[in-house]
Order: sequence, then structure tokens, then C-alpha cells
Amino acid sequence: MIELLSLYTGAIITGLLSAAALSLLGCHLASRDQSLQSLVVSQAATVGVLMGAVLLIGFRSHSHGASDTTASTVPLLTGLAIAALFYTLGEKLVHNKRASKTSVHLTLFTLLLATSYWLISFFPALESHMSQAFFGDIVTLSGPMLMFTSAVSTLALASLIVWWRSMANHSFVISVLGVEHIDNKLALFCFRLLTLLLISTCIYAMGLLFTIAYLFLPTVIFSYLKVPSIRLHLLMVTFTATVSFAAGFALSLYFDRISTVPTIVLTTGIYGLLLLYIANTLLPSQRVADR
Amino acid sequence: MTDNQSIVSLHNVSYTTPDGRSLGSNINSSLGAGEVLLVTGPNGSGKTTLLEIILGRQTCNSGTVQLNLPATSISYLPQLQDSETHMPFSLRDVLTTAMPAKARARMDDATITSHGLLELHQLDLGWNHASGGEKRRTLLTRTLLKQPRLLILDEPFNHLDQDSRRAMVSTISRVVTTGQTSVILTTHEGFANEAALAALTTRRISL
Repeated sequence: MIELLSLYTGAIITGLLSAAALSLLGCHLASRDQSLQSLVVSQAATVGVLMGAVLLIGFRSHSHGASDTTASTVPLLTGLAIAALFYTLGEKLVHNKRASKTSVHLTLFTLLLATSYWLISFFPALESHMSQAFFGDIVTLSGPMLMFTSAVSTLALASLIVWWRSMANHSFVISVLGVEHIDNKLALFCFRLLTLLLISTCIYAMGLLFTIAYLFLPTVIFSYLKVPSIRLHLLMVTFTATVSFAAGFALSLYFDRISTVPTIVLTTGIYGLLLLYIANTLLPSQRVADR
Repeated sequence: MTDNQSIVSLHNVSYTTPDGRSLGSNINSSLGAGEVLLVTGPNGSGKTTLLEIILGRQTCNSGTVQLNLPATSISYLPQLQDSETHMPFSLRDVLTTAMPAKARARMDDATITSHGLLELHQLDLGWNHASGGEKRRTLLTRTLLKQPRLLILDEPFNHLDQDSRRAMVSTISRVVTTGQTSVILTTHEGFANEAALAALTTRRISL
């Protein structure tokens, strides 16, 4: 077990950083009512990764093969490009739309889902890529990809920690008053860029299930925390993401027949709910205002 | 008052809805430091649109709007929908996250409560559990903590009981008289005729 842990040190560090960054980002995306839009962006990145794999298949058939760097970079770049395209398209379609935006995002998601299965039916060689894109396989990640994912996650995590107050303020304004009341457009642009970069990278490296689970599972669980405090919410979310990743990863190594990412996700759910129960039992609950 | 002395001046401002229905026509007014401009009219008369034209977020069909102060000196409090937040903000969180680092360092509970809208025991209350009046008072306190030179309030008294309205008018009166802050606020005719608000009003536009 200890030997296996030392073998997977890179994957563990990358997973911890990604889980922490995704969980903090998810708090803001959920607050800004961008959960379904994030699912669309994640699915778009998945389709982009598959399209990159198609390009590589075409490239290999015309040459003696692609280098490791090309094999890593092309799907990542196509994933990022398609994610950016659908992020922008989604924003345009729901701009000034006061009615629910859910149906618009769900339509985009359905189209992307159909596209991914269409690609696989056309290129059967993509089946293994599809499985990787959906469920991820942290233990098989290559050195350069681990380093790149760690770098992106560290950058995102640092930004989310350093500017947590202003991001929380923007999330509040967007959810209560609307995005048009944010004066700092540069901060909004940077947040969107960070969202795209982190989601696309994590989709490619960790898969759709890991990315969506860490974006929303911890923050949704701790939205039921009885003590109203943004600082406590963000701390609980980050703590749960990192501890449950480590526990889930260790479990999947110990029981070698169980799949890594689903185990990590289920551990996160169980651990989060347990921590929520303890916190709500031990911490003094808030006074409810007389209406 | 000349245009140079005024903070905001409107010259022959006319505007319509996107489908061409006339809202305001040939509106002229100006506002100096420490003055209160009251914009009144029934629902759908274009009060919010006029505020957005003054803020530069919408354009008028004819006429000009002149703002003689930087955008950073203006605070705008739009109408509040009764919305909840995903993250569990306390009222204190709502106030502190909005402040720049330097202002936050100077801000303590006494500064927050000095505006007379919130009491100390309310600060740890959750936004999602606060009443409509407490939410309104929190947002106005948040706006005042930024110490604006021009305060623009859209229907601040909607859905408030008499005590909350009285507290708000009293606070507005204090910032106008002691801080030389100018205020533009929209309201229905019913509230506009309340004695305390009428006494505070120096200029008026009826739509």
C-alpha cells in the first residue's frame, strides 16, 4: 500500500489540487446559477477532447505517429476551444433572457451529448477515449499532463483564495441583483477565463465525473449548513474535497477491484454528509428572523 | 444653479420603450450637492428607465444628461427581488465582502450600526432567513458604507412597513445633511407624500 502511494505521489498531489480548486470554483458557479451552464461547458470540453483524438488518429494515419507532447496537447487545446465556443454561445443565447435559462442550456447539452456518441459511432477507436473522458483514470496520467494540471489547479486555487472576498461579493450581487450590476467587467472576464481553463483541463485529465462531482457535490452539501458564514462554507467545502479525495484514492488502491473515480466521488458524498451532520449538531444554529 | 455647480443635469430628455411607447418627454432638472431629487409616477411610467439613463446604462431618444462626478462616486441600489443565495451569506458577509481592503480595515460593528438601519444582533443573521425589510436595510447600509457622493435608489420603500420606511428616510436625511450626499430616488405617489420624505425633497420629477 505504502509502495503504491509513493508510486502515485504525482497523481495524488494533482488530484488534491484539482479537487480543492474545483470545489471552491463550484461555490461561485452554483451561486451565479451557472450549474447547468458548467455541465454544458464540461460536455463541450469532452466533445473537444474526442475531436482532438480524431485529429490525432488522422495525423497518425498520414505519418509515423505523434510525439507524446502532441498527443497530450492537441486534445487539451481542442477541448478548451470547444468549451470556450459553447460557453460564449450559451452566454449569448441567455443574454437578457429573464425567463428560466435551464431549457437553453439543457438543449445545448443534449446536442453535445449526441455529438459525442455520433463521433464514437463514426470512429470506434474513440471508445477508450470516451471512457477516459467520462470516468477519468487518474493513475494512468503521464508526467507532463500531471504537471500541467497541477499548474492550472494551483493557479486557480491561488486566485480563488486570494480574491475570495471580491468573488463572493460578485456571486452575491449576481444572485440577488443581476450580472448587469457588476461594475468590474475585467474581474468577470478573468473569472470566466479561469472557469474555462480549469474545467477544460480537469475534463481532459480527470474526466467528466470527477470534474462535475467536485464542482457541485461539496458546495451543495454545505449549502445546508445552519450557520450562515461564507468563510465557514468555503473552508468546509475545501476541507471535504481534499480529505475525501485522499480517502477515496486510498480506498481504491486498497481494494484493487473498485474503480478509482467513482470511489472518490462516493467517498466525497458520504464524508460530506457526515461532516454536515456533525457541524449542524455541534455548531450553534442561527437565529431565524421574525418575518 | 449653473450646470457647473450641479452634480447631475438633465436637458430636454425624452425616451421611449423599445416598442416606441413614450415614457418621459422633455425632462429638465438639475441636482446639487446635498439635494434630494424625487422621481414619482405610477407603475410602468419609466422611473427605473430614467435612473438607468442617468447612470449611462440606457440611452435617451433626445436630450442630454450631464454627470459632473466620477462613476466611482455613485452608488446605485436597484429594486430588490426576493431572492435567496446558494452560499449561506450572513448580513455581515454581505456588508464586508463589498468593501475594499482599506475600508474594511476601518470598518467595525459601530460603523455599521451608526447608519441606524441594522442592530448588532442582526449582523450574524443569514441572508436567506432575513425578512424583506432586513434585506433592504442591509443593502442600503452596504451602499452607504461606500460613502458615495451621489446615491441613486430605485423604489427603496416597496414592501416595507412604516417603521422600516421611517428608518430609511431618517438615514437618508442624515447622509444628505451631514455628508452632503445627493440623492435621487424613485417612489410611488403614496410614499412621496409622507411628511418626512416631502420635507427632505428639494427637486421633483413627476412622470
